[in-house]
Order: sequence, then structure tokens, then C-alpha cells
Amino acid sequence: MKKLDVFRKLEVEKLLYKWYLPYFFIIPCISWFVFVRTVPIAQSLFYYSFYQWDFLTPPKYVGLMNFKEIFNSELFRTALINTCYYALGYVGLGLPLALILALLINRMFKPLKVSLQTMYFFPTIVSSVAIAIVWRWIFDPNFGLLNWIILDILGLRAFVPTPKWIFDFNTVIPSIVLMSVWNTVGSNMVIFVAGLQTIPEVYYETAKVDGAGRWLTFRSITLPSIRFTTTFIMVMMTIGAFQVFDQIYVMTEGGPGTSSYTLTFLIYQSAFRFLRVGEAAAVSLVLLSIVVALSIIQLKCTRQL
Amino acid sequence: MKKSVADIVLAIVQYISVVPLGLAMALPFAWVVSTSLKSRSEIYVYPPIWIPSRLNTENFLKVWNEFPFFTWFINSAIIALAEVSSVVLLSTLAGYSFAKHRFPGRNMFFIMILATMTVPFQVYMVPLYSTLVSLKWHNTYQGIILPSLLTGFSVFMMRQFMQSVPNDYLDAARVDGFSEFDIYFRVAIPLIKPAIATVAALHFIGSWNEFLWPLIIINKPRLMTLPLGLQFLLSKYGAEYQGLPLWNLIMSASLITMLPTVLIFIVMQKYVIQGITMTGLKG
Repeated sequence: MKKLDVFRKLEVEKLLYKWYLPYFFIIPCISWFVFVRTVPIAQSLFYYSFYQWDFLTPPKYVGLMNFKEIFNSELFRTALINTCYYALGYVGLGLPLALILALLINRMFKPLKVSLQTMYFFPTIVSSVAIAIVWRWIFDPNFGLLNWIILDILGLRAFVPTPKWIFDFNTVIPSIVLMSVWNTVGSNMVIFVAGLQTIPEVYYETAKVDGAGRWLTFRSITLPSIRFTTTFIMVMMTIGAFQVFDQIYVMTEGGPGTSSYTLTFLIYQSAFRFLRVGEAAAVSLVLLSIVVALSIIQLKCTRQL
Repeated sequence: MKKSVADIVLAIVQYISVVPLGLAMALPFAWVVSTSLKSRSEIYVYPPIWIPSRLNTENFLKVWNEFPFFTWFINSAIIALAEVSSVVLLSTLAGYSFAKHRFPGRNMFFIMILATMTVPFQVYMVPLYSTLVSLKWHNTYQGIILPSLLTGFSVFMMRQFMQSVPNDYLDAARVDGFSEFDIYFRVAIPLIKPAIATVAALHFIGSWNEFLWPLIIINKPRLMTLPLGLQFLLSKYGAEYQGLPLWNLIMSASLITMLPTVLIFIVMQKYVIQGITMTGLKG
């Protein structure tokens, strides 16, 4: 009898459960996504990149002019090269460093491991503007912390010319790479540690029984086991690197000269300084294609390994 | 298992090598604290002094009183609170529905959310800006808040967690005559509190540190948030003396800007690290 009551109630519930009910839950979310993401993305890619606009006068259709303009522009080429250079340095230095740190602390005694993880983590949670400002002071050629350490503590004053860091054409990008690696190595390390913890201990024991050396164990057990973690971090880091903006804006404003112009900084400058919305949209289309292509290539590559 | 000499040596090397690396991570922060307590005459001294002759704590008061730092702090706090509450509410609502309801368009909508997640903000910031300007939302709180009311990551994460809520619980509540909203609020929400804490902590950090969007949409000093104010302090407000930046004041200001997220991290460490492990900090 009781069971029947329940069924009857469920039947009633089915009648009460109206088809439109779920929409009450998702309409705020969907409308936000349409208004803030989908429409502006579409506008940028399919509308503004084909128009000439300065925010004031009505937009004018120019076809592929914006693309022609940017591909012929010296500044765009510089920004593209700088961004690739930065991304290469950032991923090339940051990824192995995060892995090495993760390997170093992974088997440590628990309280020490947790406190080290916390310590490495701190830079990732504080404001990027504050960090950029602090590092501008650290990079100060005359009174900064870094030159003091390199020239006086390590005693290299007699051997190297005083580095000018972000104030020199040649060292500005490597300097920003150094700062960004310091900034984010903690979070990447934490993800690596999580990945390393999923490897069953049995694998290592078997390898030891079989007489495999340390290097062989690392190459044939550790690395393959964390390849998805590695790919994930690599994709996230590359995407992050192509979006570098705050550091550039705060520390160098693209300078000295144009030696630290990046794609995102160029988008910002084109739109809000030079009032060339069309060109900004064209650059952002290039940025988006690079980010999407890189993610696909990286994902495909690791699948095949 | 027996340990060889090589194992022990390696372990020692491991423990020792962590020390300089840890120091390298902590040094910039020590430098900030040290500089923020120096007097004007002690900043430009070489070799640098680590411990100032007197703790110039008045640097903090100076920043607080001579620049609109209090206003910026309040602006940041209002904006962060509004964004965090909105993210929690909207993402749990949507996550619940995506996980537990069947309706036409569900997959299409979800794919739309996932697809826009990977698009860099710089790609669509200009059209978004021009739309908000035509609504006269530039230089307003709602203008700053709107793009961070929700994130794809939070919806995705809430959906994952809502899927782990057993359907039996929901059905039991339905049998008891709960309305669908009651089930969401009184059955599902209490079960996914840890996920809410994670999303809230990460979003607070992200929102407190947001720079690019406020930079675009705000140009009045009284509406600026802390990162924007900090940059403004360095570049235009004249925290300088005879053309040289007053790094002691700027470092005090930076320290104040950093503090709230550090506190949140200390209190909610477990949730923040869990969130990072699931995906990166920046969507």
C-alpha cells in the first residue's frame, strides 16, 4: 500500500515538474554567457576585424584591410616575435623547474612538504600588479636586490657588465620571463605533485626489483605516468604566456622602444591609445588562432606518445 | 627495503637544495617588507640595508591618508564581495540544472560555455567595452563587476560536483513535496559546500587581483580598485621625490594590496590548493 502511495506521489510530481523548470535555473547563466562572452567574441572576430572604427564615428567596412595593415606592420611583427620568445622562455624554463621542484619535495617528510608547497604557492595568489611593481624595484640597476646579489654577494662585479634587466633591449623579455616563472612555478608544482601522487608505489618497487636505475625509472615510469599532467600544464602555461599583459603594462609599457611589445599589449594600445578598433580585432583573431592551434597541437602530440 | 649510500646522499642533496630555492622564493617578499619600513633616506643606499634603523610604520599611514588608498580598498572589497556572491549563486544554480535536469538545449548550452572558456579575454574586451559604454556603464561599479559575475570554470566545476549528489536524495525530497528550488537550496547546496568554498576562494583572489578590465572601464580615481590604484600611484600620483620613486611608500601600498589575498589563502589553503589541482588559477 505504502509503495503505491510513493508511486502515486511520483506521478503527481511528474505532472508538477514542468518542462520549463530547468530554464529558471540556467537562464541567468546562459544570458550572461551570451551577453558577455558569445556576442562580444563574435563581434570581435566577424564584425570589427572587417571594419575601421575609432569608437566615435560610425564603423566603415574595409574588407581585409585590417589584416593587410597588421601583416605589413613592423610593430605587429615585433609583438608576435616577442610574444613567442616570451612563451618559449616561460614554458621552457617554468615547466622543467616546476617538475624538478615537485620531484624534490614529493617524497619529503609530510609537514615539511606541506610548508614548502605553501611557501612556493604564495606568489601565485598575490596581485600581479603588486608583483610587477615589486620586481621593478628588484630589477633596479643601481639599488635593486638582484644586482646586489649578482654583483656583490656572488662577487661577479669584476666579470660581468652591470645588467640593466628590464631597461635593456636585450634582457627585457628574459627578465620578465624570470619574474613570471617565479610568480607561477608554485601552482604548476602543486599540480605536478598531485600528478606524481597518482603513480602507484608498486611500479617503483617492481622497477627496483628488476634492477632499473634511477634515470631509467624516471624515464620509463614517472614521465609516462604524468604525461597528461605535463600536457595540461604545458597548454595552460602557453595560453597564459600568450596573454601576458599586466607585467608589460606596469613594468615596461612595451619598452625600451618596442622591445617588450606583446600581442595583448598591442591589442590594448591599438584599441585604446591609437583608436584603431579594427586592427585590434584583427590582432585578437591572430591571437585566438595561435592559442587554439597550440592547444590542439600539444594535445595531439601527447596522445601519440 | 634497504637503503644504499647513494639513496642517502641523494636524500641529503634533496633536502639541502630546497633551502636556497625556498629562500629565492621568499626573498622578494622579505624585500617588500624591509623596503616598506624604511625611511626616505634609506631606500637609495648601496649596498642595501635589510633592517632599517627605525621601523617607519608611518609609511602605511601616509599611504592610507595622503592617497585615496582607503577608497580603493573599499572599492576592491565591494567589488570582490559582489562578484563572489554572484559567482556562487549563478554557478550553483546552473551547475545543478546541468547535472540533474534533462531539457532541450542542455548539451548545446554547456558546449557553448566550454568553448568560450578558452578564448582569451583580450579577444573580446574591446566589443564588450563599447557595448558597456553605449549603456553608459563605464566608470560605474556595475561596469566593473559585469564581466566577472560568472566564469566558465565555476559552472564546469559546480556541474561536476552536483553530479556527485545522489539522485536518491533528490527523489526523496521530491516525494516529501519539496519544490525544485527547495531541493537545490536545502538538499544539494549543503552537500557541495567544499566545492563552493573552493570556487569562492579562487574567485575572490581572481577578483581582488583583476587589472586589465578595471583599467579599461574606469578612469576616475575615486572608482579605482587596489591594483589600478597601485599602478596609478607609481605612474601618475607622484609617489616620488625629486624624480625618484618613493619605493618605501610604494612597497607599503603593495603590501596592503597583497594582504587580503594572503589572508584568504592562509584561512582557506586547503580549498585553494584543491582548486588549483583541479585546474589552473586563471581561466
